Order: sequence, then C-alpha cells, then structure tokens
Amino acid sequence: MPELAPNTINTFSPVVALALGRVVHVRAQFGFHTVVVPSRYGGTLRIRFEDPGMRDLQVATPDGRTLAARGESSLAVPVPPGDEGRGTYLVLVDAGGAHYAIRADYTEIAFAWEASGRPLVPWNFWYFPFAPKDPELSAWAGSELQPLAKYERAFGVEGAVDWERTNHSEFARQRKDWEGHCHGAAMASVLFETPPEEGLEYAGVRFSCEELKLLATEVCARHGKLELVWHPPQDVVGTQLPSDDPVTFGGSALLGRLIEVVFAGIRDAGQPLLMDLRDESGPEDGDVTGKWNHVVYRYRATYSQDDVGDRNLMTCVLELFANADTLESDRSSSGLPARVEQVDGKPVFDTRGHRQRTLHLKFRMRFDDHGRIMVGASDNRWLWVRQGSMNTFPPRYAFFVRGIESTPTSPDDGNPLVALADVDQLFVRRQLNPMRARMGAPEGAAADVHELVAGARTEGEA
Amino acid sequence: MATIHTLVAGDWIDGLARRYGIGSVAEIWDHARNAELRALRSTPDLLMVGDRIFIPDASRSRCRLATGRRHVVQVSRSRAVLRLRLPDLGPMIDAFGPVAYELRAGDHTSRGTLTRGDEVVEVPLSASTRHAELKLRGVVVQRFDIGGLGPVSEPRGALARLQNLGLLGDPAQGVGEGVADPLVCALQRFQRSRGLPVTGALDDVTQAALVASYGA
Repeated sequence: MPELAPNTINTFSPVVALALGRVVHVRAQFGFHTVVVPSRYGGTLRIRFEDPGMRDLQVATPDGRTLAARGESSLAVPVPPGDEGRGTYLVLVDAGGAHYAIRADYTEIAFAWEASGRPLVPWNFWYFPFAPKDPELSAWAGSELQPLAKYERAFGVEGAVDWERTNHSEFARQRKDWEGHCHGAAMASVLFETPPEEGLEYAGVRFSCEELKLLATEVCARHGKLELVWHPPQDVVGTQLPSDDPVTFGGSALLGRLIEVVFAGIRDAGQPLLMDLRDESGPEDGDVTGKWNHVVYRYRATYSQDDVGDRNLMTCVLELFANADTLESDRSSSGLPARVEQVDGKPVFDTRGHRQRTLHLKFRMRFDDHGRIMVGASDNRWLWVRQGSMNTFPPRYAFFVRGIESTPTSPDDGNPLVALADVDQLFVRRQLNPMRARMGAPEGAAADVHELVAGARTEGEA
Repeated sequence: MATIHTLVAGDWIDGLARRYGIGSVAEIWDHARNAELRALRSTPDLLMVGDRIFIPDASRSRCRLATGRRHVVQVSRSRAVLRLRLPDLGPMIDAFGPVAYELRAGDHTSRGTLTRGDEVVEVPLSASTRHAELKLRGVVVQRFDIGGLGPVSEPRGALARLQNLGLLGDPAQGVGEGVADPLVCALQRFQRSRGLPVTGALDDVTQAALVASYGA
C-alpha cells in the first residue's frame, strides 16, 4: 500500500495515464485518465473499452471541447491540426461495474489537396509502355494502343514513333536511354486531370484513356518542374534486400528529416510528394539504382507510446499511399485513380477495385512540446520499412511537384516530338495547392477532413 | 521501561508516543540516544520502516492539587493530521466539474467537494491510526499506510513519493526501454517531466525537485 507521512503535505495522483496503443486495466467503478497526442498534424483519437460492456465516457480536449458517449464502447475524438490539437486529453470513465479495460489509439490521416480544396488523387499508370517486345511499338504489347502513331496523325507530326523506338524501346535493343517512364508519368498524374475513362476524339482520331496518359507522360518528363526536398546519400541509406536491420537505414537525423517532409508536406502544406517506392517483386527490382516513381498523395500514421512517462517519444507506423502501376490483363494500366466519392457532401476515398501502392515505415520519433518532430533527437530510429511482406528501404527521393514550364526543364528527357501545346489540347491541367498552410485551406475543407477521419470512412479503416 | 523500537509498516512517531505512554513526541525525538537517528532523518514525521528509535521511560508529571476543590487539568498533546494534495484533479475539475471526496483515517472522516484551486484534503489523526482511505465520487480510489514514507534520500522513500505521484512503472504501461529497475524508470520519468537531466540517479538535484513536487 502507498505510504503517507503524517503532519506534512503528501501529494497523490488519482489520475491514470493512458499510453497510446496500450490497454490499461482499472479496478474501479470510475476513473480519471490522461492521454497525450504528441504531434501537431491532426487526426483522430479513439478511446475504447477492451472488455465487454457499455460505459459512459467523457473526453475534454486541449482546445476546450468536451465530448460525451453514454453507454458506448468507444468514442472517436477529432484532433485538429496545429497547437490547439496536440497536448493532453482528459478522460472520465463511469464504468458502472467494478473494473474495466481501456485503451487509446491515435491515427493521423493526411491528404494532398488541389487548389479548389478537393483531395488530390493522382491517376494510375503503367510506366514501361515500350518495354514489351512489340515491333509496332504500340504501347502495352499485344494491344491496340498506339499513342504516338495516333498523335502523329492527329497533330500532323512525324518522327515521334521513330524517336521513341530509337531512344527508349527495349525491343529495339539500340535504345539510348532507359525505357521506363515512371518519372514523367508520376508528374503527369498530378499535373493533369484524369483523362476521361472513355477517352476522347481529336481531329478525327480516337484516343483511349491509356493513350492519353502516355502523351501527358512524355511532356511532363520534359516540361515538369520538381523541387527536391529529400535525398540522403546512398551509402547512408543502405542497401535493400534482405534486411531487417535498422542500422542500415542511417542516422536519426535522416529519419527525422524524411518524416518531417512527409508530415509537413502532405498534411501541413497539402502537397503530393513524388517519391521512389521500391517494388516487392524481387531482387531484380530491388536494385538500389532503380527508381519506381510514384506520387504519394496521402498517409496514415498510427502512434503508440513506449513509456507513459515519456510523453513525446512515440513509435509510429506510417503508411504511404501512392498511385499504382500494375499492368492489368486488359492491357490497361490499373484503371482510373482511387475514386473519390461524396457521402453526405464529404469526400470519401474508396479504392475498392482500384489498385494502389502502399509502403509501411515503422520508426521511433521524438516530438517537441509544440508537437514538431525533433529531427536531431538521438533516440529517433528506424524499426523497419516494408512493402507488402518484404523488407525494403525507405525512399531516397522526395520532390514537390511544382508545375509545368513552357521551356523544357529537362531538355534531354521525354519525347521532344510530343509538344506541350498539343497535349494541352487533350487535357485539363490540374490546379495544385499553391503550398498554402493547412489552416489556410478553403473554408470548410479542413472541417470535411476532420469529419472524414472522425467517421473512419476511409477504406483503410472500413 | 526504555526500549529500542524497530519501525514496521503503520508505525509513526505520534502513535509510538501514545503506545509507550510518552507525553510528547519531543521526549522521544530529542532524546540524546536518538542523536544518530536525527542525523539521518530530518524530521520525526519521515521515519522509515526498519528505523530503530530509542523509546525512553514513560515520563510522569506531578502536580499538587488541593482537596475540596474542583481542578481542570490540561494535558498538552500534539494534534496530528493527515494532509493530502491532489493537484492532478485540478484540470479534471475544470473539465468535468467539482469532485466529491471523503478521506477517512481511523475514527476521523473528512468529506466535502473539491473545487478548482482547493485540491487539498486533510483529516485529524488519532495516534493509533495506521491506515487511511480516500474516496472520490463515492468510490474508494486508494488505501494508504500512515507513516513509513521515509526521507527522500533513501531509495525506498523516493520510490514511495514517485508512486504517489503516479510515476511508478506499470509493466502494462511500458517501463523505460532496457530499464529493469522500477526506481530508475520512475526517476527517469520524473526527471524528464521536470526538465532535469535524465539519468535515473537519485542525485541531490533530483531529490530537491522531488521534495518540491511532493511536499515533503
């Protein structure tokens, strides 16, 4: 039994702290609890009972809200981004019975945004359009797709097909450069609106959706503008397979910087990030020099607290969601983007039937008292990085996609015979979020997100 | 008869004085044969289980009283009290409203409602009282032993304070990574919470901060 001294002050805390991600068993009919939300990036705090029974639950938030659930098994609390959202949440349980088991979980879900306030969802693509051995050089071997031949016909251009054969066709075996087009396709997937699923007709030539994607890919490889925000030295990042050794993932400062870029870039600034995510298909694709460029357009971060007494040190599983790149049996790429549906006027991601690529990163991270990542903290460290069931290494590149320049940004890249002005006839350019802060998002947009995550309507939590 | 008493759980100085028929705590504490103990413990209210204390012979006071008259004899005896501060309830009161409390120690009970800024409760202590019980909102939240807290410089005394402050490691809540000793883990938590160097050592600075946080 705890000991007290007579005739002097004794201090006693009847409050039991809840560590994120852990169950606490309480032998009492009621309880006061605290739970700390460490970061400033916003999300959902969910308090729930782990044993059967319905209880009354009240939660008071740092920004002065009080939420109540009567006779429920859980309560979801929206956590707004910024200083007002992070901090200590107070919990009062009226259990009714003699004991209860309770846990708290915190999840952040962040989206990239378009200038209009809509969530930005890049379209999917197949990034080796000329890799299959097809003498006709039609993209996606065996199909009827002929994007460059059709382009020549529609716009009266000559040589586009031959240029591609000479420079990027694996079949020709005389190519001058790598046939992969992922970097251009990734940029195109956010810089242009998704082409119509049924395609479109221009100057009497019918383009399919997939053919249009290739044309946008060519001009973005040449005219797209990127801003590098993350690129550590290769020898610090380490090699790929097989590894479950966090040492190979480099120092804590690198980890902190990468996570800061992801959190601040997507959540705070609403920007998509063009990153290289490795493939899980095997050692050949695991070549460290290979890049599989994708646009990461949202993430989900789930926190757990290692020690309830160390409120700012968290273990985090970060899931990066990117557009997919799978060649389907119908020779199309993996379809239109993850669909954004409207439910009660609010956007809901629904990727059922639509492929996407996901990278999982698990790490330990220290935050400061304002909820910011402490980039240089000595106890930051990687735990693992996986795609599917395979260990891999973290992205070595991250770019902000800044737009399209009329003067080529990469004169040696992309098919120079595919003109930007022509492609603009076929596409609608997407209006990107001009790096405005999250709180400066269009009126109602932030509220939509918080209601969205509070309702756990994303596909990942459904 | 004078004796050496070894403290066990629930012993405290007022209770010992009562049990051995000593008129005041000072008669025990200030006795020359307790000089060594006084050097170790700054106050008789912070003795620890295992401490050995000299109990002198029971003192007797004589006074002459005339017959045929009525006399009022007043015996001077210290009034002991158990005082409990509950600062963590402050934010809870702000958020969820005042909290009904009841603090019971032996035959004495103190009850009322805790409001913001008034999170201290106390109850008189009889010398024979060894245990206390705190209820909040009508529910027992904790039972305590009276006495035995010990000085902060002793690991056991520090651990008892850290436990009362809610900083003792609970395996289900995670104890510091690689730290098997609950005291070291709790000290690290305390040091981190107070912005001190996180060493897990019970050094002078940590002791002073712990006394300031706990109140004794």
